[in-house]
Amino acid sequence: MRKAKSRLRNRVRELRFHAGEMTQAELADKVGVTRQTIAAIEKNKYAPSLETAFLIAEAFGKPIGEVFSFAPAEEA
Amino acid sequence: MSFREKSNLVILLSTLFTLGLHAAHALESGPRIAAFSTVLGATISFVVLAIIGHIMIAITGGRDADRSDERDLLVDRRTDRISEAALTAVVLGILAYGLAQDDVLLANIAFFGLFGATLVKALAKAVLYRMAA
Repeated sequence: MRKAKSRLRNRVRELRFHAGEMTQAELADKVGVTRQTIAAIEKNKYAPSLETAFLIAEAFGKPIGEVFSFAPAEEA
Repeated sequence: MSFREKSNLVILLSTLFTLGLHAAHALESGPRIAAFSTVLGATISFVVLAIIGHIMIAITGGRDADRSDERDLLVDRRTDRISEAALTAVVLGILAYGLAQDDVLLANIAFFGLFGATLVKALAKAVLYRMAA
């Protein structure tokens, strides 16, 4: 059985660019995860926990809703 | 590649090498090889290889060696489930072999191993469900 595609979307890559081209490693250090996890989140290959999502939003100084969104069913 | 991913490759290669060496020895000498010395030798060679491999990856780029995160935990959980299924299949095979050969001790060890593990799992679940309730 194939796993349903996640409907979680994010702007992490774009926000990193706007935050002085912050690297994945720098963001990972701020959040307390590995660089590979940030890369996986950016590619929508991994849906982070709520706590990590909040920590990422906090690293950019944005509310969580501006970093993560939930795609409508027909778009997924 | 993260430290944990490299570490997993070290374990994979060390296991393959150890299994290959042990299998080659068993093919050469038959399945009833001097069990204690060969199993001990294989175990020691696995540990030594794994230690050397980990030292090498720590020297060449162990920046995140002390860091594991929720994704690592998720991968661990999924792979534990796969290895648990493989281990259960092997123990069931041992149980069947013990029963077929009328080897009561072997069959009982396999039986208690399986049910003991199920008991431990059920107890741990009961505690964890209560802790999170």
